[in-house]
Amino acid sequence: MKLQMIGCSHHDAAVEFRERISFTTDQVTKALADFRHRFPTAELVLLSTCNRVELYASASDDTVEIDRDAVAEFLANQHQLSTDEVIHQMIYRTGPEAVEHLFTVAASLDSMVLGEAQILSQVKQAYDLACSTGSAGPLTHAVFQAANRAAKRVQQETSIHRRRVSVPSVAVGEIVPEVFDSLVDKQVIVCGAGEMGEETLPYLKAAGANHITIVNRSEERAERLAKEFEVRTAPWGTLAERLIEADLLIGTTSSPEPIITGEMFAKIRHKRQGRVLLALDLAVPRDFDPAIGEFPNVYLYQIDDLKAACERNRREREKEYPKAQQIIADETEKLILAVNHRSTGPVIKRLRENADEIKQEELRRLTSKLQSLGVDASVIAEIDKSFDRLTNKLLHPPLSSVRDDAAEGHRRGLVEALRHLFNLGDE
Amino acid sequence: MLAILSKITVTCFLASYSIVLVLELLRLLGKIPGRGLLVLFMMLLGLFTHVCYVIFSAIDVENIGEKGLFASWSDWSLLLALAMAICFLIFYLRRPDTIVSFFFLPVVLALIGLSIAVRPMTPFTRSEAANVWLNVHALSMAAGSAAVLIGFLAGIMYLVQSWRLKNKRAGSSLRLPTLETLARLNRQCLIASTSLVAVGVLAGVVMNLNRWGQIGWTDGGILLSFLLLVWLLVASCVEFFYAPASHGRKAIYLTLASLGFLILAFFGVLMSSHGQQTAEPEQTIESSRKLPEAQRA
Repeated sequence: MKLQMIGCSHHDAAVEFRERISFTTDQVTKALADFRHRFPTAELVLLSTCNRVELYASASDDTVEIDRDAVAEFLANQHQLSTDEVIHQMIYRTGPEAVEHLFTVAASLDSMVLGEAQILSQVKQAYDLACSTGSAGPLTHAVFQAANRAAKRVQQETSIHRRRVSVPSVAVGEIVPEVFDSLVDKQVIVCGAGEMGEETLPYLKAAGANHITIVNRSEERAERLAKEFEVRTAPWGTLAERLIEADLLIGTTSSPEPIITGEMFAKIRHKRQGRVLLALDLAVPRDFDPAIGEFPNVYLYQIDDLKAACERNRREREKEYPKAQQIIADETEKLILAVNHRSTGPVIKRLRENADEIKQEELRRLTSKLQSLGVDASVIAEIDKSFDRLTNKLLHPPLSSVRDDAAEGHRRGLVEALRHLFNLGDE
Repeated sequence: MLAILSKITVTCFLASYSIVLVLELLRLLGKIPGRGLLVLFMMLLGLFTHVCYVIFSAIDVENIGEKGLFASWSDWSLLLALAMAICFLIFYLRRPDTIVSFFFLPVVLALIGLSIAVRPMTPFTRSEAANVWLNVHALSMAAGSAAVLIGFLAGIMYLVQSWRLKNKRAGSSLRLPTLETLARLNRQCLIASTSLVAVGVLAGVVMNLNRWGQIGWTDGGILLSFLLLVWLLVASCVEFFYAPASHGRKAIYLTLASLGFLILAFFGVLMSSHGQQTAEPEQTIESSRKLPEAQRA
């Protein structure tokens, strides 16, 4: 039983590909159910964020064929893509490497913005969803709970998270000051009232924005957010009109299709009279058609375009990186030890039970003979203790060796050997 | 018509400006319908009469004699008052809801009052006036050229910054001022350069009239300086009255072209005898007066 991870992130896959294989919450739920249906004894946690899509799978039953190809095929089928199209863009990790990767992701060491706080909650949400749908199992429980611990340790023991940053904070804090002196009196249109929109609004307010309008499909949600941040809302149908007056446009919806297309922008462009428009597309799939970035005086930044800003941020934080990596390595080792140790438990328990059964049988036979000879009960009790000591002394060396081997990752296969030698049956 | 206009006196525009001030002070009593339009009308009337008075004073050659053109403290006070009145009108048109009039108009009226008060003072001679206007001309043209150059640099930086942003370089360590700052600087430089070159060219005209009694329109320096001024005026008008060209890169191209005209004007100045004349103004005026008489004879 080992953990496998197949997925892609901003490091190795372009946003065009990531948006094709990304999942909405509903799609994740369906995918988890489909996976359970196809591999009933397997475990799966599916993490889908703006910057990564990763599947953490494990099968408790060794007969179940869950490997890279199987998971890639499953992923491809979910999005009506060919397996070849998917598998070449994916990275694959297995065993301790998969665990270490998850810890690195959860601790935000693999994020586009190093140290951003959002990813840990996204990992937790992915795990919670797997738990609620019954897709998580003993291994994924252990690994994801340990990932949370590792991320917390990195937060507490390094300064990587000291200045909390996120994609919206970098977008507003690094890109906006290249275009505008301040956001005071600028028309800011936030498309979407979801998690990303909610996270973006405090940064906009802090930057001085005093004319913020939320445009969202669900007016109720927009109103709630608007009330919280004291901003305005506008009906979804007026998006094109809002576009005319916008200075800063931010896309945070989960729409599978672009909400602003090149044609739509071309129609209202002349009404803008050449005013500069900064469009920050923080959504995956993207909210704004890349074609709008081709218009004069329009500066379009998609999530991958934040890399330059993030690179600088990363350099500042890299000093703490080795310390964080050491924590990840320690936690990975600790988890692997615990998991391996846990895997020896049933075998040791069965061996002890077998030994105890033999001891009890022999003791029973001896006791009846001794009782017929009129031997005192205290002597029989002493013999019982001697049998126990004998069993323990006989089992101690092999069990110590098994535990040591488990700690080293079952390199010598002593658990299996023990199982066969003492005929302990399959796990 | 000209006869009527020539009868305009200081009292006309002094009264107009005073009425504007009174109308503006009425703000203190509350909102009065039509007050804004009346302010605008009276201000335009005041400026018109003020400009007419200045022009007719200048062309009243018979009364000038040995006195230089715009060569007295009184004339300079009136010109300064005119400049302040124009500035006020611009501010007022931009933000009619503000009370800038409370600050500007007393100064305008005080300057007109000063002009009346110092009228008895002996005016400067043509030679002295020419020197004064020469300095004004030189300083204004130099400052105007600097403004064109700064505007040009702001324009270049805007284009580089625009290129950086289009190519997703935002957030890198090599930064430039914001697009907004550069666009504003570019716009301010256009306004400053147009104003300064306008003052410089007008000062040059006055200087020439003082020194030579005429303007050497065939001089390359003068011709191309006028061309620069015309271009800057056109660029300013396009910038302010044609909205699609007032934002983004189109506005920048206007200031980039201004540098071309500035270089042309420099060439005109350097390649001609402009600014290298050493003749005494009096002698030249004499000769310029004699020339038509000789022609008539």
